[in-house]
Amino acid sequence: MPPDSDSRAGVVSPDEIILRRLLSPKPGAPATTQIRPGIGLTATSFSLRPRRGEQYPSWSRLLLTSPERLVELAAEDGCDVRGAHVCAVAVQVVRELRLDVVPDPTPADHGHCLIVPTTRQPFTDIIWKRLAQKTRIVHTQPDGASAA
Amino acid sequence: MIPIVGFEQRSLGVHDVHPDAVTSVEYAARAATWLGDALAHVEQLGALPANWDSYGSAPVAMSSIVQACRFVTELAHVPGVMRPAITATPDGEVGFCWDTGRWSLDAAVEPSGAIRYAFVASDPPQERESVTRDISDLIPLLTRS
Repeated sequence: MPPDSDSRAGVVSPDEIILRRLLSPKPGAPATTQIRPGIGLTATSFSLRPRRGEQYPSWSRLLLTSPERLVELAAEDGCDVRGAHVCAVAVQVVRELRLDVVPDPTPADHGHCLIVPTTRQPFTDIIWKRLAQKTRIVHTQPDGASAA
Repeated sequence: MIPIVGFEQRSLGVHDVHPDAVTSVEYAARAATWLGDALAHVEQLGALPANWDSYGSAPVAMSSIVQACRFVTELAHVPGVMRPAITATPDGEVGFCWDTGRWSLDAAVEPSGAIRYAFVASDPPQERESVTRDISDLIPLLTRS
């Protein structure tokens, strides 16, 4: 049974902002951002979804992890972060979609947190579209520059 | 680069690459001008390593690339279908995204050829998510004004 938002509410303040990396290594360069008319540049919904077998997608709390540090973590893990973006969304917005955010600190990323489903809102393809439309790009790694 | 035999030719007709293409869709004789770039982009996704997104994503399956080339070739022959944004899903599938501001549609092409899609429109409000093998299910959504 997924965590219920009611039992977790308040653990991460609704005023907080959470972040997720959007990498687009070359060659390949998958589109991880998308220009949405009337909204602007956002994440694609595919870049927010958990993969099969992954329970909850990883995010990081801006309060504890800066966008620059979030990109550094990926570079330290050997990922190509040239031109990477970081998207952001308010926890309140996540909860308005009836999902929840719970802390899940790791040794490398104390701000690590998870978006979890609730009894009122399971993970669906539509919910990732709705969340993606609410994201904004808050950091872009210079193309050709390494974060590490 | 992973060569995909047959997809370098820009003059292919939809039935050349998709013999089972449904006939209820009205196809144009010539593909949209964006098809060549789209096919090249889909092919390039095959070069992505595992964990390319830093969150543990799978490499893109060759079978999904082949199916996606068929899918996008067919769409490029449907008048009014716009060029999609092309991406990879965390599960190693090819993903296509459209957003006009009035509606948006995401479609992931599974290695089996099944297309999992999610559609949201604002006016009139409409939401749909489903899995199909019939591209004609998507045409009314993708050609909506």
